[in-house]
Amino acid sequence: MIRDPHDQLIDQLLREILGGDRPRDMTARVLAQARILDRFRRRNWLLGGLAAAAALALAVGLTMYWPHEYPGPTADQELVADGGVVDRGTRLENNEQDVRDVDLGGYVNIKMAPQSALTIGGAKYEEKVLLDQGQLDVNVARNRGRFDIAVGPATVHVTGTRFGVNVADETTALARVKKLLVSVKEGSVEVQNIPGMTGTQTVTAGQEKTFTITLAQLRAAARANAGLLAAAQDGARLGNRGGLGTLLAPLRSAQPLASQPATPRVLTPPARGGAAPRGSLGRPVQLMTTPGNMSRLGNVLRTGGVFYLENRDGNFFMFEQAAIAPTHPRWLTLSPDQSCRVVWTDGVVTDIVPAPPPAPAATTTTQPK
Amino acid sequence: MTHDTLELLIRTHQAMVYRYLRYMGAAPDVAEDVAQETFLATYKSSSVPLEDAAAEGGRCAAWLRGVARNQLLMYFRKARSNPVSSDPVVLEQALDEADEVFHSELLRNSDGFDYHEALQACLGKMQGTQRQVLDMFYGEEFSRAQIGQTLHMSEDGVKSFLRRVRAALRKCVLGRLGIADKLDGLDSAGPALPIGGGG
Repeated sequence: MIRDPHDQLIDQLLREILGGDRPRDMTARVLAQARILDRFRRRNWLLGGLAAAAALALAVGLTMYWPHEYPGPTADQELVADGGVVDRGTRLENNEQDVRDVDLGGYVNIKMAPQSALTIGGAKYEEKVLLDQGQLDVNVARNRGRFDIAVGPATVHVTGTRFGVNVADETTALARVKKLLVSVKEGSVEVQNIPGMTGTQTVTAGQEKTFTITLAQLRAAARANAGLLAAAQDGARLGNRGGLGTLLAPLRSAQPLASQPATPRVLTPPARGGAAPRGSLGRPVQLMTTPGNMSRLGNVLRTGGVFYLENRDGNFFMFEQAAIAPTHPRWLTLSPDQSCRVVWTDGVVTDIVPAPPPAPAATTTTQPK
Repeated sequence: MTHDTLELLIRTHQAMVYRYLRYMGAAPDVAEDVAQETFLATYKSSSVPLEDAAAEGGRCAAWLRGVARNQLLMYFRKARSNPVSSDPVVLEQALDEADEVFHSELLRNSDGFDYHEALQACLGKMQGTQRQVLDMFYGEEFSRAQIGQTLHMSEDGVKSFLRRVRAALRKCVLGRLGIADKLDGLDSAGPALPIGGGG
């Protein structure tokens, strides 16, 4: 029922005047509720702050650990002598004038001094190069991944710093050696597996240390670790960008060449189906290849610094220690039983000349020329 | 807003807010609850005009009545029934109209104290049955049926008589305040009784 507001006004005033219609004092009650409200407000601020901090931490965590495409190796194309792609397993050689950049995994920057040569190895977050000669100035971002420089058996290991590594050949009265000079500008690095030294050598900021490695030790390391191929194998096993790893059966082999350096050899790939020769170094290995050369995967045999690959087409390929990618032009195609002449000097294959395809009934041994 | 300011607001305006809410149709317990909610809402707000918080007729008082009106409207909407109207549109219109009368007739840009004083003076002049019925209804809180039984009147007769007495009081008040031109809203109540008569 709608009442007349004028009548209602007099009605209410009469209730006050004649009936004592007044409120109880509500001051204490409202103030008590205000204090409760204050406590809720403080708690809400605290909870809001905690929620905001948690949301921020979550956002930062997601940003940091959200799977990004891992950047592959990048380098000036002129560093690749044969014009191939820059990838794990690629050998880079600098000219005599320029300093050139190589970037690995988005967290390693290498400045290659003139006349330096290295091979890219490693894997995701475990970047690695194998330094043959020259000077590298390296800058590694912290907390992003590992980085190693292998020089023969020695490894310079770092997780985040700026340092330089220099490798130079030197001839002493007793032997030809490689001098490894490590100088650190920031942070520290660890040098491991120095022949003749036990434990790990630490080089800290402002320090320089020189380590000596003989060529014999380098050769032994190459035999033990399969040299650059091992680096590529590591990369393939751990999932290189564009790489592929396959466990392969051994292939019958020629005799190892490294035991008879400086002597040209004639190598004859084994005939398919033949027995493995005695003294073979054949063993299961993994081989990295490029995506466009999948068909070239096959059985691999390493003998010293020379590798044979039998592909699925029945052809044999032969390649050097320094050129491990199947697309490399220094690969030679040998049909089964076809011979080639290999010049091996100081543990390094210096020349490979294939012989004309032979008549049937091939042998499986290595024969001195 | 500090607790001291809130206390000042409550002590200064709680009677006015309560009166306003009762006038708008709230029962006594509802008016107290809504008044408390009004002051708590004021405490939470950051836009209270506090410059005349200690004055009963200023902007702060008007602001509080606005909050009280909205709080009461929310209460009526939530409640299953209310004494004004079940139609939400009619309810809001009725509250607006009552608010307008409250401002224009009781307050008149002041605190309404003069209106209160004039009503008391008019009541003082009232005698006989008129005063007796008012005392029984408002002072003793007799029901209309009880009053009718005592005075040998019907219940509707008591109701009509009360309305005419209130109209007479209003006419007296407006006359005392010199604002008799505001004499409207009396049509439904019938002719006002002369104050001082025996009824």
